Amino acid sequence: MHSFGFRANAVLTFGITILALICAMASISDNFNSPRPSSEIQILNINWFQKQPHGNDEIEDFQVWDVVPICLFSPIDATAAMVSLTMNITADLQSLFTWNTKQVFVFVAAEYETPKNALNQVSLWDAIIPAKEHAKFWVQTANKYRFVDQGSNLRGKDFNLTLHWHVMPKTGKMFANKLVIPGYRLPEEYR
Amino acid sequence: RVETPLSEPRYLYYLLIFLCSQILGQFLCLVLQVPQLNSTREETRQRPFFFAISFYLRAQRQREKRMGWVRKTVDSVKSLQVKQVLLRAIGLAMVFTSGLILWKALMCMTGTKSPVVVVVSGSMEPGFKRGDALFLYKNKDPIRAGDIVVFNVKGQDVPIVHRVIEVRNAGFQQLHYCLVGKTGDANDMDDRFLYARGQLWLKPQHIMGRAVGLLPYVGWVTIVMTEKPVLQYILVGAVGLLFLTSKD
Repeated sequence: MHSFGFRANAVLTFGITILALICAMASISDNFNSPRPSSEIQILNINWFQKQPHGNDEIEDFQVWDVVPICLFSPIDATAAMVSLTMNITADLQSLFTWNTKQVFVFVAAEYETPKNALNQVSLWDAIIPAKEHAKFWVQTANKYRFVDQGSNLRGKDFNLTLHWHVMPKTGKMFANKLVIPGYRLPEEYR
Repeated sequence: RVETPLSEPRYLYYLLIFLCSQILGQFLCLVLQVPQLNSTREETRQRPFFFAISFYLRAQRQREKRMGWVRKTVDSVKSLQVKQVLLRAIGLAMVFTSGLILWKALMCMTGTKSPVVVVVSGSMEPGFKRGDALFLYKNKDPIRAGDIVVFNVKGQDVPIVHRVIEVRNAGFQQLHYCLVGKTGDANDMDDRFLYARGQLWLKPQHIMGRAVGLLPYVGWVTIVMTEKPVLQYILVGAVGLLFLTSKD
């Protein structure tokens, strides 16, 4: 009854139960936060807009990493069209942070429709916001990831830019939502 | 072939197994009942304080009442009778069945083969660190960009946790989408090099589920036990000894 084993067992069981309860309550407290984020995205310039020839040179220019040329593993269709654009992204995501937030993952995706695919979502840029102080930001950047289509449907295409945010907590449920900004258009001709 | 979430009739099937096993277990315990056990139960009924604590704590306390160190354990092992061993074994089997049924129920509710996974690589840092437990959920909703998915690559048994960066919905019915993921938040490369030879896209049947919740540090137990299998045997042995030699 008063042995070391009994006491250790009781402490451990009780401790784990209480910890689990605290994690659950921390997660539930996140539901009381009503976020009001805002954002604006401006496309400053379409740097280039090309139909991919069936070769490796174009793709290597565009790569961000230099370890392995990605074309070896993901051959792009010979008719694929690719875009590079510069964007101005401003956002205020401070209201998303609670005491239970570890980080907020934010990314910008282009959404459009083609005859072959009802929905295409291509992520263009992403960032990790580790703390509330960094949540109000302005960034001017070219797209981090390829904006490429599975065909040559991008000429004159209307697309939406959506800002998605993914709140990753210290414990518990993750929340994700987005803000859709419609009304962007790609040029009619390649350049 | 599209994998469908585990369907409703299985709930009833598992519930039936559970009820049968519990009834059988209780019946066997009644048949094999030894007098000492009755007195143990009466003793604890005289202490109403115990009922305020959880049932598990109460059962543990009864078991630990006479657990001492090695000498006492060896003594009790020596004094085992067949009936006692059988009763312990039945008790153990009932606990295992309950645990199994709980796990199966969880599988049915979340629609995945593995409702909880442990992060073993650091590719999703700083969001998910090595040793975090992730809760998965899968339903008919299509996967969209930004979802954190856990998927299996053919030929590899360890599933991978990454975030989706590209979605192509090739079909006007839902579920015919193809997507590619990013090699974790810490990298900027897409993870096509992880897929099987010639595979460019992830299809719905490759996805185990979407990560919806997180518990930090809990997965270290699993990681340590997987990397040092000897600990598994020690743990199972200790639990077995505990159950066989306790007085409940």
